Amino acid sequence: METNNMNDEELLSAYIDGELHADDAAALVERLASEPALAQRLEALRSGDDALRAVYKSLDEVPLPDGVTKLLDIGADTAEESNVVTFPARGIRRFANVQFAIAASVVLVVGILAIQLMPSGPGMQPVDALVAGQIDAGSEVYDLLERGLSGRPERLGDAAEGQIILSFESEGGDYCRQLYVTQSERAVHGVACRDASGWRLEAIAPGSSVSPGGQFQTAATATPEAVSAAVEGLIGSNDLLSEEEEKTVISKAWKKSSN
Amino acid sequence: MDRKLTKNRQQELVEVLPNIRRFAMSLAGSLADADDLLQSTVERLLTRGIPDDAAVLPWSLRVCKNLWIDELRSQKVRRDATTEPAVIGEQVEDGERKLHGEMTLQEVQDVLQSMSDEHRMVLELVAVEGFSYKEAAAALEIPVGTVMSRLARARTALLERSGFEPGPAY
Repeated sequence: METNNMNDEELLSAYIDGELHADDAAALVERLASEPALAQRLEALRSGDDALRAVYKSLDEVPLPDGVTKLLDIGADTAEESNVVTFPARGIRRFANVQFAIAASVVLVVGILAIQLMPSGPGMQPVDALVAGQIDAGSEVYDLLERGLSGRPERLGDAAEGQIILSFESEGGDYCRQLYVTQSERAVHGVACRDASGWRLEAIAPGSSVSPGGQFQTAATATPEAVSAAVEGLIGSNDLLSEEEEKTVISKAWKKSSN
Repeated sequence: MDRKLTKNRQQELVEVLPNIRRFAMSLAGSLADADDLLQSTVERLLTRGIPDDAAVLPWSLRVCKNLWIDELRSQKVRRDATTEPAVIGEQVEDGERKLHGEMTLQEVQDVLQSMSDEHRMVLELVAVEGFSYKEAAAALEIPVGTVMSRLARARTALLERSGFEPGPAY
């Protein structure tokens, strides 16, 4: 979105939806770090969205009207399946390299912000740890990155759920993975890459909140622009890893084949 | 009924029924009216088909929106002049469940009822369905900039009318 004439409410709204250009998002994140009222307003708007989703989710609990199921010859089983929430796929968009550079600056700013705002240390919840830019060896998120297969949600401790969205080898030669973690109606998307010392976070952005085990399946469908841009910048012309390729590199602890 | 929808397209339609229903709810504001609108939308899609080059969900939402605006909204307005509209909470048992310790489902529903169709539609498509602004603009047949500004106003209204406003409106 062009931000020249946007007021703060529009900026925050577009930020929630991942619709700001990476440089505008970075500028906003900087402001959020120094303007508590603005950060508080952002959280209020997100809470409103959460409440809204809960209302519409409650609609899915009501069976479809008979008139519709008859029109479409839907049997009882199919009708039940049709109540599973589906969202339109939002493909990864193509970005120029310059935008990746900008996205990288968002990561940096987010990291600084996170360190200032978040409690740190062992025992931190998965979403908080990611927001703080921490992927400690032995943590649930690290384990998900190390051993999870794309498209399979996994419990992360008692209250969180995570999922690998995709994996690829970056143009720089590192293995990278896009992941999505939800916890208590908070959600983050991120991209992490593996080097000899472990997983490091390349990008992170807030996402749509999802109740663990709930019906909303937005993990792969609402990737924020900053994360999409980071993936696009990293992957270059390489392909995504297939499930078989993922299994192979997982079995080798993400080490490149050596001669 | 003379059907023009192929079996594959019909299956695609079945898969997005919950999405169309939620969107219909954002237009109609009550479950009874939303289900009437959903049924009219399905009938229209079955009899007139969906163009081969059109994606099922965006096309269906557009049909749904136009049916509401052109035919069903006026019926609802006439009926509401004499009756109280039903809301989701009448069908859902946990309508009073607390959200974030501040809002109840019923309160959010009440707020939604008080909002304009335009605000409800854009909120539902973006905040609930996860549409991009571009996708929402195409479905609603409005400019992307209008989606952005309308969405911000809708979110502001949602908080103001619910009394759930920890932070000041900017």
